[in-house]
Amino acid sequence: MRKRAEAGLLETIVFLILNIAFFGVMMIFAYNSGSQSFIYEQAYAKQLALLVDNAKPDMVVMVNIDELIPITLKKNKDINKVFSVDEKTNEIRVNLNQKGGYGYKYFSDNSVKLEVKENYLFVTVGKKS
Amino acid sequence: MLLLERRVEIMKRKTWDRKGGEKLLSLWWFFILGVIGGFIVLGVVIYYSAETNVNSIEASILVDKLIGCLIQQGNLNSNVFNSDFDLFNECSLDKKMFGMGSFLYFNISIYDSENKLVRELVNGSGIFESDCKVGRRVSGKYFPSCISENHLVNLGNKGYKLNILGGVNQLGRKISVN
Repeated sequence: MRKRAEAGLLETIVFLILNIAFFGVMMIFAYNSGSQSFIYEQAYAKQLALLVDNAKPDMVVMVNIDELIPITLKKNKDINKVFSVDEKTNEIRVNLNQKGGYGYKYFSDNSVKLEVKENYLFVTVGKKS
Repeated sequence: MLLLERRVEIMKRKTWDRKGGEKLLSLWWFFILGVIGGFIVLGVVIYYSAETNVNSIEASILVDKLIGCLIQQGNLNSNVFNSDFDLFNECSLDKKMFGMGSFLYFNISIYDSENKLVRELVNGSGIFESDCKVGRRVSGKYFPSCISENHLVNLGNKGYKLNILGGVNQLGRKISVN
């Protein structure tokens, strides 16, 4: 009688644990998906590459990055390290995640400097020497 | 006595049946949860894997850049017929980004007033031209986007027709930080 009761209790505990595990995994998945960081990475990388291609030397363009601040805080990422440019491969890189980001190439012969000041990204386009 | 034993046996069987039913129900429950979870994950993955294609905008910028340096105030750039004409330098294009295997392509054809081809500048893989035609009819991620423009220009007192085709097939890439 006691054995049967113990078995029943064990079954209930296993059932509850599996349910909690399932809903926990779903909650974490929904929380991580909710930031849409990958979409922002892609959008900003492409937007900046097109901006550089279309810009003339000695232009400075200010890009509002208000919407990225909450994501960087959530991902524990320094906003100054989100944007980078690789001038060897002409690639604009946007990293909102700790593990990686998104890169998009530009084809113009311009030098690019990216700098974050408050809620704006300053894109300084110059002539490659 | 016999009736009592039989009744006890029926009660036991009912209890076991209920237990079995509960087990079956919890298995079914987890199966349903798995299916729901799977569809949620699938939906999110499909949503996030959708890429924004900006190739047509990029092709348009490329063509605009080429036009900007080849046509100056309605006149054809006179250097274009020189054998040492460096289009990349003239149009502020990075030479290393162009060439065979690149995601960029352009074809500049200059015709005289008798419709005779007098100068052609081509860079990139020739397969772009046929892929562009397909890409116009079929929407596909891997087909290039092309922009074509025709202009009538002058050089001295001669008239020329300038055909420019620019194509881009850039996919972008995910970067992993080690």
